[in-house]
Amino acid sequence: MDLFQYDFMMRALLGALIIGLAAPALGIYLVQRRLSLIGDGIGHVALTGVGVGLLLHQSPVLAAVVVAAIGAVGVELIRERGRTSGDLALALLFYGGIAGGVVLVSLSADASSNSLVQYLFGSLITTSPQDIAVIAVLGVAVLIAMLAFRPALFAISNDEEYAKVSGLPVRALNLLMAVTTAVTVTIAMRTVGLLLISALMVIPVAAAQQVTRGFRTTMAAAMGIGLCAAGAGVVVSAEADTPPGATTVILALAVFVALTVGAVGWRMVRRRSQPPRDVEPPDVVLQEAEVR
Amino acid sequence: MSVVTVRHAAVGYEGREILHDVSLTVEPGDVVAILGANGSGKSTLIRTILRLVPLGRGEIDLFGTAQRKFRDWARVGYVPQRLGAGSGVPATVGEVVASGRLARRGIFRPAGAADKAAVRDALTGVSLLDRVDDPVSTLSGGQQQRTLIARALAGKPDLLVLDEPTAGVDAGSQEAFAAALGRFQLAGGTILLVAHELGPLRPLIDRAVVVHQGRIAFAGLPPEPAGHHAEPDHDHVHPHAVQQQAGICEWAPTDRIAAN
Amino acid sequence: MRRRLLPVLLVLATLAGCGGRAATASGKFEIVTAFYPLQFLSERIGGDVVSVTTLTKPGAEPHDVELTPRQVGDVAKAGLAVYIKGFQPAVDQAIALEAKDRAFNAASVVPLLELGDDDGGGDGEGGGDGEGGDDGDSGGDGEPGHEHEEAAGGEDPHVWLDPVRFATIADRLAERLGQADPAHAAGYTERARGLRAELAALNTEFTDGLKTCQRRELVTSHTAFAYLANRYDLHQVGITGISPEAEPTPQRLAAVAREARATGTTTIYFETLVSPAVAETLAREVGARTAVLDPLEGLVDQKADYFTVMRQNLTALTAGLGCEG
Repeated sequence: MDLFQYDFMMRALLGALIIGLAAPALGIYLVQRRLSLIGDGIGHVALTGVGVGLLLHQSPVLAAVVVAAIGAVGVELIRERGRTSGDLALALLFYGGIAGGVVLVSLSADASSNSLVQYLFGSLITTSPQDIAVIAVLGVAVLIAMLAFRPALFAISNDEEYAKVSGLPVRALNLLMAVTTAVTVTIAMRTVGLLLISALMVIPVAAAQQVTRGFRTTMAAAMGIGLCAAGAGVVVSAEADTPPGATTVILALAVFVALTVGAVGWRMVRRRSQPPRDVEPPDVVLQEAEVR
Repeated sequence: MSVVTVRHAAVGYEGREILHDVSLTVEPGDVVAILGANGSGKSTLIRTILRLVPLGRGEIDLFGTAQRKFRDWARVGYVPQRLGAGSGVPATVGEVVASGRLARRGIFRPAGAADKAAVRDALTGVSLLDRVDDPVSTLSGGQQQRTLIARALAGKPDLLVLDEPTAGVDAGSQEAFAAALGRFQLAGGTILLVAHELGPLRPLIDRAVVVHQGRIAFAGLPPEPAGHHAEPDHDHVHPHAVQQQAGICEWAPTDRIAAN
Repeated sequence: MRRRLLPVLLVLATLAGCGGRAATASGKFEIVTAFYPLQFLSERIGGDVVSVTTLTKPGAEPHDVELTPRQVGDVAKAGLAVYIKGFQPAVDQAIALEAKDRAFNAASVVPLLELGDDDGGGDGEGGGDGEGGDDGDSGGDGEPGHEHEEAAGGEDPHVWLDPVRFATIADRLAERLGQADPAHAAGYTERARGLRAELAALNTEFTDGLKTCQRRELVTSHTAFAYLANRYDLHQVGITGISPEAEPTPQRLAAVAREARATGTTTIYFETLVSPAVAETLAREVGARTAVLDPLEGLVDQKADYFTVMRQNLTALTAGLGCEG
């Protein structure tokens, strides 16, 4: 049965591919700053945005973008001041976000916590042409921002103080990152849902790192892995009749495991066949003790 | 026009004042070492000059312009004490050094041939060109420091500011960047460095400034270490007495107490 | 003084002990109903002498309602709790705990259809007609998001959408109310009779309206309309199955699309209380339009009632299925 003759499957595939490409392009900077879970945190805050949208009968996705952006900017400002430790701030986001969404929805007359399910787990199959247009535009914007500003974003993520002394607009770029995170999270809400968003941002990066040596190559490999996992996820889920979002994440994890095992094996083989690299000259040169 | 002028600066964190009434001038071509015990405020001083720490009172000028109006940061090269904390993802030596070019070309232009050439020159200057494609995390501490110096030099700055460059670094690396700094100074650059002990950098230093309890305690020719200071394993962690020109630990410029 | 007080107290105690007579401050008999159709019945049959509260707030989707502590308290205090067992797990639990002997299960007094049994033909007694329902269909096993698919033993709970069964339930409810509140039994019976006549008229309208239609396939978001389809000889094709919020898998959606195309369906129906995204996706795929078919699980327009909504449904059906008359 060829499911891809149906328009809804083609839209699902296109949406997945765009997000599969854009999410790791953002995720690599999050991983570099050791903020891998921030995608999850912002995702949970987005749930409050969905609750606001459902309560006010506005587009839940638009409300999610706005609330997620506010949350992301807030997190960035708190981080900048260095007052709250990273994981504590994340805990506030995670729990406040989900609880906020559930409470708001319970206040709404015509939505229940079950309305949130599609946002938690993704709703790729029911993506309309308008949805795809929005995902495409935002996805391309994220890609352009992450690629065009790569040297500056790399410098900031790698050594923020040095970047400041270089005169780079560090705060502006950090806020750009925050807003980009919010946007990416909200468009990824459709594919894998809010509960699994960090997976698409982070797992391809983790997988790529097993085999790459530099930042540029890692970023390219991560985007490639994300793209393939997302595409394969939709195709496999069509055949196996499983939900596409979760299938994509499982495939990405499979790639990670395969690359890790492969890299370990490769290193073992090479170590046996190559001499050791030159070592740093020692400070102290040992000499044979004279035998008297 | 002096490169750095600090006038009566006071700097504090969270209600505690670290520096009180510090004044300092660095002229073009100077090589100035800022010395002091742990906690004396010497790192805070250069971080304040670099605008990483806000100035409480007083004024700082960079290249004749007030610090808060200063925009030409490409003229300043900064070498922090260690590689930044953001290292969750591999980065090659070449990529780290390339970020030194951003101050020169701005964030909107892609890297060009001039940038690539500058990176290679900088790496050659610290003898690390053969490691340009290796991940920075596979380098030794000393090699990583050399990478950081190359990063600062890649931007072709006029002023180089280094924070404890020799701390925990092997002798070979120390020699290598003493040589690089020497070349920089010969080409007309100005150097401001914070150090605990000078080691191979000693011959370069024109002037030493000692910071003690948040104030300048001494400024002049670098003192020769004497007595137990002269021993190779001297750790230099004890506080210096507050002195003017008459010097540190009771020595006179022409005297030398016999090493015991 | 004490001599008169004691008998008074004894009488009051006896009255209080009389089973099933819960009086509100106004003295009315209290009925707690699970969701709208049962609320409608109770109000019509009970008239002025009862006070009816509903556990599912208007506009909310009843399948997964959660009860607040106050609502559980209402169940405990009620004179009669009217519900459909197996439709709302939270309600079932509350009633089992608090009102076990004061409950009326509307699904127990009429013949039920098994899930998947919605092919045409007369009365459709519960259990197999031998036809396993439509292909690749509703209520199925292994479909995602199906927590509520079984009434006890895999039965479809949406009985209120068949006016004939609904009339039977009305009669039985009136009897039960009469037992619980004998003082007003006559009124209950009379009002139920009136309701039965109205429902009979509705049944006639439906039978006539849906007699000759170009298409008999009813493509709908979730399979709430089995009893309607069964009564009036339609063939229900549900996209997601018995639970309305699940998103269909790609294969399921494709299968329904194929069937819709094959039968020339022009209208995909969706309900009022859930997102129309699934119906719209299918409609876009096959070039159909969408229309609302209200399963009466909750009332969206407070000025309407069971009859107005059922008649609106009839209009939507005749338009979408190409029926004359």
